[in-house]
Amino acid sequence: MWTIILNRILLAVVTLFGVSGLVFGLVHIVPGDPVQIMLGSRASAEMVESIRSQLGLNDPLVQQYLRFAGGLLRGDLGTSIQTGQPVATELMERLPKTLLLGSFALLIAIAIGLLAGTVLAVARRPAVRASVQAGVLMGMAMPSFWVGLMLILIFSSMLGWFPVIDDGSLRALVLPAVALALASGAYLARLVRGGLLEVLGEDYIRTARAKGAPLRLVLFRHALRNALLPVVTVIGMQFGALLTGAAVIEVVFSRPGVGRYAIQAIEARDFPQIQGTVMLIAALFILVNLLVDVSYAWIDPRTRKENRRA
Amino acid sequence: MTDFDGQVKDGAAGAYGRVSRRQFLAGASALSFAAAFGAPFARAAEGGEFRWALAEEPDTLDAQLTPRAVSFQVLNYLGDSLLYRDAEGNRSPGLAKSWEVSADGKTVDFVLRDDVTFQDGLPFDAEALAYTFRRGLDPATKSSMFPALVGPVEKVEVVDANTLRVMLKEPYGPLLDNFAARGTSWLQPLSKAAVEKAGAQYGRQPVSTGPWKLESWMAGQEIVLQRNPDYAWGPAFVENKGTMHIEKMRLRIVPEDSSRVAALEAGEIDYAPIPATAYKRFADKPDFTVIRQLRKGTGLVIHFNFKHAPLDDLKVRQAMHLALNREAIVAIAVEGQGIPAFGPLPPSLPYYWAGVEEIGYGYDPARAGALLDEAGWTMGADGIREKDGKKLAFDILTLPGSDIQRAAQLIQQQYREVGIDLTLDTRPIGAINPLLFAHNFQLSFMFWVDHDPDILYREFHTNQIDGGVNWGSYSNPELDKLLEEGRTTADAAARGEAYRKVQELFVKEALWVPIYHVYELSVLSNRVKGAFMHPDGFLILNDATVS
Repeated sequence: MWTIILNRILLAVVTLFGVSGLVFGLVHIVPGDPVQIMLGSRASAEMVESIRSQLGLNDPLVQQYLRFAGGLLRGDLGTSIQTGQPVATELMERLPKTLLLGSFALLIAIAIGLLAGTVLAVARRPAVRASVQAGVLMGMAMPSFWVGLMLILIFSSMLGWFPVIDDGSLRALVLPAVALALASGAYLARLVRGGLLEVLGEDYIRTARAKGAPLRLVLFRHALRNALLPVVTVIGMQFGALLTGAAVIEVVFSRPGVGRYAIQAIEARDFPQIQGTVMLIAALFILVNLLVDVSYAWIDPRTRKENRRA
Repeated sequence: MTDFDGQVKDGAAGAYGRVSRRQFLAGASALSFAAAFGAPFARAAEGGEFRWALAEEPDTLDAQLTPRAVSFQVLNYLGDSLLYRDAEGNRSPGLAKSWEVSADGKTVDFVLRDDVTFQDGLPFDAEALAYTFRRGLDPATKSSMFPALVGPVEKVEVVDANTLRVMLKEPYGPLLDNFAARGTSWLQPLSKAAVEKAGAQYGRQPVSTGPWKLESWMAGQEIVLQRNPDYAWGPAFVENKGTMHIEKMRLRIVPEDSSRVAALEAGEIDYAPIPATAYKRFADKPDFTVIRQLRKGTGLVIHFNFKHAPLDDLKVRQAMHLALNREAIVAIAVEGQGIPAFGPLPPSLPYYWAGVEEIGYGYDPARAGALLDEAGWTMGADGIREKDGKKLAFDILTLPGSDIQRAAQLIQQQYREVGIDLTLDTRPIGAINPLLFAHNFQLSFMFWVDHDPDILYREFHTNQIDGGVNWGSYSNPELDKLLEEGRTTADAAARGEAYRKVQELFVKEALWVPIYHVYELSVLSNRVKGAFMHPDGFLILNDATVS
C-alpha cells in the first residue's frame, strides 16, 4: 500500500507543476491589466507603468513564472495586486468556510444518493420509483444558482425559517449546502442504483436470501458495501465539483469563501490571487482523490491482495 | 417628495437647487421637532446597531491608496473633511474653521480647529495635516487619488500650530471643491503614528478623526465600526456634533442584488443599495424609505473614436444623436429610474448648465435621415446606408450589466431604423479598458462617476490623448483653452462660465452621445430615524437612532 501512496505523491507533484504552468499561461493570455483596473481611469500612464514595474509585471514572462513557481516551492502563493496581502493568508481566511460548505454539501449529497439510490433499486411499487426518478432528474437538471434563489425565496423570505444572508450560524449553512448538494446527490443516486442492481443480481446475494436473510440485512451487510466502490471514486471527483460549484452558491448566499474570492479575482485580473486559488483547489482535489484511492484498499480487500502480489 | 414617512425621497435631482434644500430643511425641522419633543425618545434610542449591506468589499481602507467607490463610502464614516458643502452648495467649515486663497490663486491657507484628535489620541494640527499631504504626494506611497484631487502642489508649510499653507505650482480650481465633496474619504487626515506603526497593514487598521472607528474586518464577510467616544467636532449641518447615538455599524458584504433585497424585506438589514428592478417592492411600503440620488456622473453615453471615419463627420455624429428615443431607453433599460441626458454633465454635478436641455438633440429620426443623406450616405436595399461602396456599420464595445445590455439592444434597433448597422461587442470592463487606452475601437458604451466637471479635461484635452482618458483622440484648441480655464481658477463664477461654454461647445460639436443620467437607489428601513442623504452622496448618521 505504501508504494501506491508514494507513487501518487510523485504524480501529484508533477501534476501540480503542470497546473501551475497552465494557469500562469492562461491568466496572462486573457486581456486586461490588473494595475489599470485597480487604479481606475483616473490614473496617469506613468503611475500605471511605475506600479507595473514595481510589481515585476513588465519582466519577461519566463522570469515571472519562475518567480511564481519558486514561491510555490516555499509555500508562498504570491501577494495580491489589489490588497497587498499575501494570497496564502487571504485564502486561509476563506478556506474554512468553503470547506465547511463543501463538506456539509457532500454529506447531504451522499445521504440523498444512498437513500434515493436504494429506493430506486429495491422499491416494489412503480409509483414510488417513478416519483423518486423524477426528483433525481430534476435535481440534475436545475441549475444550482436557481435552486439557491428559490430556496431563499421560499424558506427565508416567505417562511422565515432561515436567514437570507450568512450570519455565521449553522442554520445559515443549511440552504446553501442543500442547493449545492442537489446535483451531486442526484448523480450519486443513479450510481448507487446501478451499483446495487448489479450486486443484487449476484449469486452470493441469492444464496443469502435463500438462506432466509431479510432484505435489510442483505442490503447493509453485503450489497451496499460492494456497490459503494464506484461511488467512492465518484465522491472524490464530486468533492472537486462541489468546491468549484461552491463559487456560485457563495455569491448567491453572500458567503465569503474561496469560490467568491476567485470570481472577484478574475474580474480584477489579479494574477497572484487567481493563480494562488487555482493551485490551492488543484492541491485539495489531488489530496482528496489520493485519499479516495487509499480508501479503496480498505473497502475492498481484493485490491490489497493484488498490490501485495505486485 | 421630501417627507420622511416611508415615501420616496429625491435627493439632489438638481444638486444645489431648491429640491435638496427643502429636503435639508425638512430634515432639519424633523430633527428640531424631535429634539424639542422627542428628547426623551432620543435618549431611549441610544445605542444599537446599524446594519448595512454593501454590494462589494473595499480593497483597502488606506484612504490614499484605494480608487474604489465602495471604499469612498466606508471611509466617509472614518474620517472628517477640512470643509463641506451645505444645502445651497456653499462651502461650510469642517476641520478647517476658515480658509483663504491668495490673489494669484497659488496659495491656500487653512486655519484649523484646535479641539480635534485622532482616534488613537494623537492631536490633529497643522503638522498632522502636513504629514497627510506629504504622504499622499510622496511617489513612494503610489497614491493615484490624492495627487489627482489636490492638484499641482509644490509644497505645504506649517505656518503655526493650527495653520497650514498649501502652495501650488499653478492655480487649481477644483482644490476646494474636491475637499468639500470628498474630503472625508480620500483626503481624510491620517494619523502619522498609526501609519508608521502599521506600515503596509495600515489599510486594514485605518486611524483618522471621524465619528466611527474600525473595530474589525472579517475578510469577505463584514466590516464592523464602533462609535468614537471622543468625537466632538461634527459638521455644521448636523444637530449632534458629538458622539453618535448608534453604537455600532455592521457592514455586510452582499454582492448578489436579490440577496440584498430579500435581506431588507426580512429585516436583516437596515440599509442597502438596490437595483432599479426592485424599486416597486419598496416604493410605497410603510416600513421603508426609498432614497433616490441622481448619480454623480453619467448613466450611459456612447464614445466616438474620432480617428475612425466617418465618425469625424459632424453630420454623422449629429444623426447618431437624433436617432435615439431617450425616453424609451430610460423606461426599458433602467425601469424609468433615470432622466434623458443632453450634455456631458449630469444635473447632480456643480456647474451643470441647464441650457443643454434646450440646445441638445432630441428624438428626430427624420432629421437624422436627412443629415445622413446630406453627408452622402444613401439608404441601401438591405436597409443599411452606404457611400462609395462602404456600409454605415460600426462595432460598439458594450459593458455586461443588464441595464446596459437592454439599452444597447434598443439602441441597435433605433439605429437600424435610420439605416445604421450596429454590432454589439460585449466584454468585461477589464477587457474593454486596454482597447480604449490603445485607441483600438470604433464606438464604445461607457459611463463615469466623478464629483467635479474637471473630468472633462481628462476626457477631452489634447494632452490627454496619450496616457489620459481622451480615448477618442479628440483635439480642439478652443476646447483645450476652456478646460484649462475651468481647472485653473478657484473662483466659482469664473469656473461656472468656463464650463458653460464647454457644455455648449460639446453639444454643438456632438462630442459624445449622452443617453441618460441614472438614479442610484437605496432603501432605508424605517427602524432607523434621523438619517438623511447629503447631496454629495453619503448617508449622514450623526443624528440617527435605531429602534
